[in-house]
Parts: sequence; structure tokens; C-alpha cells
Amino acid sequence: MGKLETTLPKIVHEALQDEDYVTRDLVNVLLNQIYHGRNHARTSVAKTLDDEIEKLTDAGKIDIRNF
Amino acid sequence: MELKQITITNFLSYFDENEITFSPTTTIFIGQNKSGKSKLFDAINFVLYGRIFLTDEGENGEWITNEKEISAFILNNHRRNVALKAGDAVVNSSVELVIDNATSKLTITRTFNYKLSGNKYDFAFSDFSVTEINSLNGDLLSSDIGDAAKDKLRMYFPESIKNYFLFQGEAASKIMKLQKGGNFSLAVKEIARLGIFDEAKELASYYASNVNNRITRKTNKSAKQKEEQENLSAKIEQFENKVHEYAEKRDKAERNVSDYSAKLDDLNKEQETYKEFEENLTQRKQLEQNLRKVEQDLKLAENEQKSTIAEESIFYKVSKKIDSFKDFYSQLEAKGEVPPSIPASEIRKALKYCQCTICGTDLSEGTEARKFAEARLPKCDTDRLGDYLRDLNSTMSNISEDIKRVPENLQKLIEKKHELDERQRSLKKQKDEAMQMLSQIQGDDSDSKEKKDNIERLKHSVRNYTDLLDKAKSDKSANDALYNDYYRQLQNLKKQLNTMIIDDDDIDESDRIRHFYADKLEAAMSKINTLANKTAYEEVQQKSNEYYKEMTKENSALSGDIKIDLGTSEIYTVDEQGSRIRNINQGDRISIQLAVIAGILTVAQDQFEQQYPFVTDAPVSALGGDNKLSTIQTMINAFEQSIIIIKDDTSSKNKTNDELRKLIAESKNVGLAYELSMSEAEETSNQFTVVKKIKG
Repeated sequence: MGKLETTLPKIVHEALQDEDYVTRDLVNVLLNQIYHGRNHARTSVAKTLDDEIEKLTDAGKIDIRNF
Repeated sequence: MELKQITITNFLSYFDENEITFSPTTTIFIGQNKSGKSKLFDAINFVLYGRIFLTDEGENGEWITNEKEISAFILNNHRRNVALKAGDAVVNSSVELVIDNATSKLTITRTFNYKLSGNKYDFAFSDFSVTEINSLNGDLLSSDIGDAAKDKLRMYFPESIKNYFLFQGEAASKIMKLQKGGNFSLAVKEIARLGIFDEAKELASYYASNVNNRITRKTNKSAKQKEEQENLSAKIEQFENKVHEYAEKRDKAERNVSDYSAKLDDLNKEQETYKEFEENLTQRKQLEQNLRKVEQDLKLAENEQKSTIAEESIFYKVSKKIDSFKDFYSQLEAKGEVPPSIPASEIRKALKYCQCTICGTDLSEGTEARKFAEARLPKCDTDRLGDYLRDLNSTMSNISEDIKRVPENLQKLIEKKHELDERQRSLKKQKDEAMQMLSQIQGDDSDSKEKKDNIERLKHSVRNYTDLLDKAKSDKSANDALYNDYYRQLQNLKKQLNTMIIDDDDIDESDRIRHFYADKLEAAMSKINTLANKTAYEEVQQKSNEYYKEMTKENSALSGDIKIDLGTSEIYTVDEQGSRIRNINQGDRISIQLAVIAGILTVAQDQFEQQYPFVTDAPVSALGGDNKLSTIQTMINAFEQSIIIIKDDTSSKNKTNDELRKLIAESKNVGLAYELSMSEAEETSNQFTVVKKIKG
């Protein structure tokens, strides 16, 4: 509903143009969770982000040698 | 979003049912003071937000939202009077608003119900409903009442924008607080839906601190665990040493037990070699002891025999003498030669008192008794001998009783002597036998001393080793118990350590990754939020300036650019050099407000893809001259649908008013216009607003 859906990627894109893939992905996951998700509870969001980071790690998107 | 129609019934100055249709473009209401202009504005506020704007005599005012307070004002006075006269039990005050929302049509109704109580009407209850029907086919989409209806309505008319599309000149000035930003920033935030970024920023921040806390907890836990682990390991080491120590002690004691047992076995075997010798020695010793005993007994028997016989012989001799004395005494007594026993002192006393002190016999002078007494006086010592003799005789009688038994005793003694003789013989025989046996027993040969020494030495060793063996056994048992105790404790500690190792969840790679990206996410969301706010403010600022420029075209008095301070949300104007314009008059303020409101509503429309009508009451009352018309013109042009309520100054023959009527008549954007006035009535309380269409 509304223009936000089109405005949002523009703002996010502009703010995140220098960010890495993982951060961009996490921002999108978080915003989608708020925008579309039913459960905005903090613990639920934290769990979603935890899972996403794990997923990205498993997918090799994070260079674990840096950690 | 288009306001289609409003029906005001018995509400404030509106009597009965007043159905007013709005133009999809601009609808202008004009009216003189107290003709119901502000009551119309109140009707829209009442139906949408349940509030009315109450002004006092000094034209200051405030919004009232409390139902009970509102109920005291809104029932139309004329209706009240008519109803009281008719005795109606119930009377209502209501407003119904119809809104076209592209695909659906909303009908919003708010009703206050009053019931008759004596000669007045008391507020009873309120009703609120929202009905939505499909604009194309007329199907009922939803019908809600109460809180559900309010929720439904807020989907279309959020609280955040009520002061912007429902723009009350005086009230808005206060709310906007132009110089301080007021609720403006909140409105922009909500209208531009920046709340989503605020929430995202807050959640990202929460996630970062959550991850951080988890890691801190883990670190603390890990440090604590490590400390516990180290303590436990130290304790385990200590217990391992103890276990080792007691195992060694136990083993050593066990070896001692074995060594001492072996040694004792050897000693016992060695002792065995001396067994015969030792037995002989023992036997010999026993025999020697027996012999000594026999000899002793023999000696005792001989002594006993001798003494008894001697004693009895003495007795025998004494008895003969006693018998002789007794015979002699008997003879003396028979002859009366044993003197009587009267003491001289008694005789003298009797003679002195002439009467015997013993038997009372008269001893007067010349009596036979006195003569006898006087004759006895010189013989008193002889009389004492008589006493001795009597005593001796008595004693001898007793002794003689014993003496009488002497022959019998002697007979017994003779018998005993025979026994003793027999025993002596027996003992002598035993002695001879023992002597004979002794002579036969070996062991008193030349090497017996050496053998005896050896035996003593062996016995001593056996005692020593037995003691050592007992101690070694005791040590073994004690050390074994300690070993088991420490071993059991050690196993428990190890188990504890193993469990601790399993539970240990030290910071790992995934924690570090989460920590790193949670921080990055927080920073990114903060950046996005700032950017989104900036974008929204900039959009509002840009749109506001567009409208403001339009106004300045019409009015040369207005100049500069509108600026919005993002830090303080303050709104002001700057000149061409960018310097802040300080001296702005009331007219400029209203214009700037309208431009910003137009900007906000435009952004809101862009954002929600929903058009908001602009409803304003007396926005230009403080303006004069050309400012008023140019501002109205701006409103007509800026908003897709506007409902403008303006004071009619016709009576004052003001030129501007003529210009206003001219504008209404000529402007294509003004679709409908109404003139509001009060009905004629003798009593003010029976007057009511009359709505007259003047255009459309």
C-alpha cells in the first residue's frame, strides 16, 4: 500500500551503497519483517536476524577467516 | 479520499436534518459571525475525531474530546425546546459523513442520545458506526460499531493528520507553533511513514545490544567457567596427588604385611626346631615346680603335725592341774572354808548405822548380828581371797569344759597324723618320681643356654614382627579407606569437569560474526533513518516552497524561501542571501502555515496514494487586503478537494468581500458555495442555521 514500497528501496539503496552484501541483506530482512511481518516482537526479530546470519554463513557469503 | 456529503442533525446551531453536499474540488462556505460556520467545522471534527473546538468570549479556544463535556454543548437548543414542549422522551444529536474512497464508500455516523429527565434532557449514550460499501456494485463490505468502527476509521484518517487536513485557523496556529516546530515533526514522521524506519532503527539497536549482551553473558560465563574449571582442575590435581599418595602408602603397607608375614613364618619355622627342647624345658620346669610344691607341702604337713601334738600335750597337762584345783576348792567349800565376800567398808558402814546395808538386819549394840559383824571385820582380807577363789573356780570350770574335749581332739589329731603320714609318703613318692623323671629329661645339657637364648631371641623377634604385621595391616586398611575416599571424590570431580566442558559455550566464530554484523546493521539503520527523515522533510520543504512561491506570485508582500530545520523541526523563511527573515507578520505566518500544510498533505497523498481534503475554518480571518484573496486562491489551487469556511463581510461593504464573491463566482475550481445565516426568531435560543446554496 502506498508509495513507501517504491520509496523504500530508493532510500535504502542510497544509504547502503557503500555497505557489504551481508549488511544490505540484513537491512532488507529487518525492513521486510517490519513492513510485511506480523510479529514485530524484539525477540522474534532478533531470532530472524540470527537465522539470516547463520544462513548467510552457511551459504558462504561471510568470509569466516576474518573472524 | 473525497468528502461527499454531510448530514447535520440537531447539532449545535443546526436544527433538524441539514444535508450538505461537497464539491470534488472546492466548496466555500461564507457567513457572518455566529451563523454556524465554525459549527460546520465542528460537525466534521465531531464525526471523524469525536471532538469540538470550544471558543470563549475572548475568541480563545480549545479542543474538547470528553463525551460528557461535549454532550453538554451539542444538542441544538431549538430542538431541545421543541422536544420539551412535545414531551418527547428521547432526542438525538448526530452527524453523518459520506466519504468516497475510490473503490468504496464510507458512511460514518456519530450520534449522541439524550433522554428526558424532568424538564431537561440528559445525555444517555453515544453511538458510532462506520459502514463501507462497494462503490461499483453497492455491496456491503463492512459494518462496524464502537471501537471496531473507530479502528476502521483510523485506517483512513489517522490521528497524526487531523490537525492538517482539518485546519482551524486559531487552533492550528497554536498546534503548529511555527517558530518551534510543534507537532509538525511528528506529523511529517507519521505522514511520511517514517515510523517504519524508527522501528527498524530501534530494532537494529536492540539486536546489536542483544547480541552484545549475549556475548557479554557468554564472556562472563566463560570467564567464570574457566575460573571454576581451573579451580576444579587444581582440586583434581590435589586429589590425584592424594590418591597417588595413599595408593603408595597402601601398597607399601601391603608389602610390609607380606614381608612381615613371611618373616613370621620363618621365625615360626625356626621356633619349630626348638619345639622338643622347649617342651622338655617346659616339662622339666613344671616337674621342678611340682617337686618344690610337694616338698613345701611335706614340710608344712610335718610342722602342722608337730605343733598340733605339742599343743594338745600342753592342754592335757594343764587339765590335770585344773582338776586338782577343783577338787581342792570343793573340799574348802564343803568345809565352809571359803570366806564370804563382804568388804570391810560395808561392815564398818553397817556397824556405824546399826543396820546391814545389804539385808537390813538390825545391828544394834548387843545383838548377835552385831557381834558376828564385829567378828568378821578383822577377817576382811581373807574374805578377798574367797573372792579370788570363787573366780578361779568359775574360770577353771569353763576351761575344764574344753579340756574335756581334749581326748576327743587328740583322737582326731592322731587320725590326722595318720593322714599326714600318708600324704607325706605320697608326696615323697611323687618327689622320687619327679626326681626320676627329671633325671630322664634332656635339656639341661651343655648347649641348653645357647638354645634358650635363641628361643628368647626368636620369641622377641616374633613379638616384634607380630606388632609390625599388625601395624602394617592397620596401615593398609586405613590407607585403603583413604585411597577409596579420595578416589571416589576424584571421580566425582572429573565427572564435574567433564560436564563443565560439555556446557562450556565460549564465544565462537558465529558470535563474532553476529556481533560484527549487528553493529553494522545498527549503523546502517541509523543512516537509513536519518536519510528517510531528511528525504521526508526535504519533500515537505520542497512542496511547501512550491505552494509558497505560488502565493508570493500573487502577493508581493510575501518573500523568501521556507526552511525546515531538521534538528529542531523549526519552520522559518530565509531571504535570497539565505539569511533568516525575522520580521514576519501574522499574514505571512498564515501563508507559511498554509504552504507547509499543503506540502505535508501533498507528501501524505504521495505516500499513501490517497488524497486528503483540506478543510479549513477561518484560515484567513487575520489577513487583510490582497493577502486574503491570494491565500484563498492558493488553497483552491493547492488541494484537490478543499472546503473553505470564510467570514462574510458583505454588511461592512468591504471591497475585499466583493472580490471574494467574485472569486467564488468566477473560479472554475470552486464547484459549490453555500451561504450560512441564522433563522429569524424572537428568542435567540430558537434560532438555527439556515444553509443556502449560492453556487453549484
